[in-house]
Amino acid sequence: MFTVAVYCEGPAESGRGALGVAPGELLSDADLGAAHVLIRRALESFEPSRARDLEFVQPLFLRGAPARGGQLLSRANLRKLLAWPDSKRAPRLCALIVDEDGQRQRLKDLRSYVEGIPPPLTAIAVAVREFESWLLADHQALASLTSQRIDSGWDVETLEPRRAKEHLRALTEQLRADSTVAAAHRLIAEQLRPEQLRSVCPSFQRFLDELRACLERTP
Amino acid sequence: MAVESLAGAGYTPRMDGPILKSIQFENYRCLRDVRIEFEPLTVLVGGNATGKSSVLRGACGIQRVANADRWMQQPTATVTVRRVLVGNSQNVFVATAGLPGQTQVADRGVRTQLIELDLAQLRAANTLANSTRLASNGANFANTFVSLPRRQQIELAERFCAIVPMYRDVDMLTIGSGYHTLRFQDRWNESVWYTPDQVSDGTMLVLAYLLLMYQQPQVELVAIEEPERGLHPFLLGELVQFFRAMTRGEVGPHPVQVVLATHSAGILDHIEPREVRLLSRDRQSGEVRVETIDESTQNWRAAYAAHEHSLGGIWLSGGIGGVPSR
Repeated sequence: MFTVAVYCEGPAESGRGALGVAPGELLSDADLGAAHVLIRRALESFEPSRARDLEFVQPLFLRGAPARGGQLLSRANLRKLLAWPDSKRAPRLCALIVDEDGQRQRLKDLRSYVEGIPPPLTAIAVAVREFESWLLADHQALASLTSQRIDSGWDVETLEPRRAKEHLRALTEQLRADSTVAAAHRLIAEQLRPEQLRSVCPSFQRFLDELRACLERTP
Repeated sequence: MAVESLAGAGYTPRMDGPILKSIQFENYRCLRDVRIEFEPLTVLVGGNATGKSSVLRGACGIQRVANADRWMQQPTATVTVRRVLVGNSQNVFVATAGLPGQTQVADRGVRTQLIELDLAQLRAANTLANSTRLASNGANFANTFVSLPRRQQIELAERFCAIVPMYRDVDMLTIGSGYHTLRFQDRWNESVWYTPDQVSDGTMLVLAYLLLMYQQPQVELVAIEEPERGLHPFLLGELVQFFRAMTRGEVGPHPVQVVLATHSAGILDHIEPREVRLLSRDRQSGEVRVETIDESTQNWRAAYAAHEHSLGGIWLSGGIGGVPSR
């Protein structure tokens, strides 16, 4: 089993949240969000053997609850969240996905925050400007899912902060009416063409590079 | 009275290490096959229904079991509770099918006390009677206080008022028909006294815990259920300090081994990692598992440092177990 714990800012990325599952324990498919789907698809493309054994686990908590939003941006919190005290409970790999929010030095900062923490290694993604930008990357997939004409003129990584969230909210109104935000985002993540996402979002490509590098260093 | 008294005459208490070294449970409630080791101060943590109370009962010595106390309520399951005491002396309780059970081996006795205080009982007025040891539910609290020599009453009141400084004294109030109750003097107005129903839960509980050190004859092991109930977080450190002082013999006539069951991160913040036992249920079988913390690993050291040596914080991260899971 190749276990991965994914730390995200909220349900838009990590799904509805798995109530009652202790850190280190396996999440069910229903607990997963768009971020898990993107990681699974990435592994399928460059580490198919590990992808077959892939299971996601509940990340560590902060004071008894999942860490959310800005809690993931502080050095003190990140070291608490990513230093697994008991290797028997630890996943093989961690992934941290946060929004850039116009803070260009964020990736550098986060890397310095987690320096020296013993394994599992953490692959860090800073989505430019935000995670929703990645979900807007493939107009064709979005058009097919939402049955709407999509303006293909966006450069999703140069949108003003929060604009990607707003665009995605407007586009997924119908999808969200049938399910939840987390489920709608997960559906998009499942339908995105990876090559399109990689070419439109350099921040996603950077994450893939980091994920691959961490996998190479993970026995 | 939840006090087991197996000590033979002439027994001399000592505590070079814990009196109770370990217990092996078989088929007792959710403890199907569990071994747990004890320190002078041991703290049990775990989700609800993970066997903490059962371990406390086992530590204090089981006298009999009903079918409901057997693993999965199986009437044919044989319950065995094997306590290993100081000097490798053993104390073995066995209950075969259909029988309430009995102690089959008792190499050495140990005086124990289970404390599961009931606030209503703790506040209840008592009919005057001599009482030198607090009942498990605290029902004889007023009597135990009044039975102390006056010097010890004053000392206890002083200790109590140092911890709960809203009061300047504790005393007894006769309320007629042979009943009496505790009363608490206001710190700022000495003519104002409060009865137990007028003071906070924490006030009653702190006084009851402090009273434990004056019991005669003193027990060797006390097991306490959720000592944090009703207490302000700032008091938890003092409470743990008090229990630790009991284990060292710094308060009371001799050292007392202490076993606590808690859900409090605040309590854990004052505990050493080696003193913690983490209880959880196996997801498949429902059996209780007991884990300890391995402080020798790089992972532990990094995480403990990240949490600024807060054992409560690291427990609440969920990374060491002893937390609920579906």
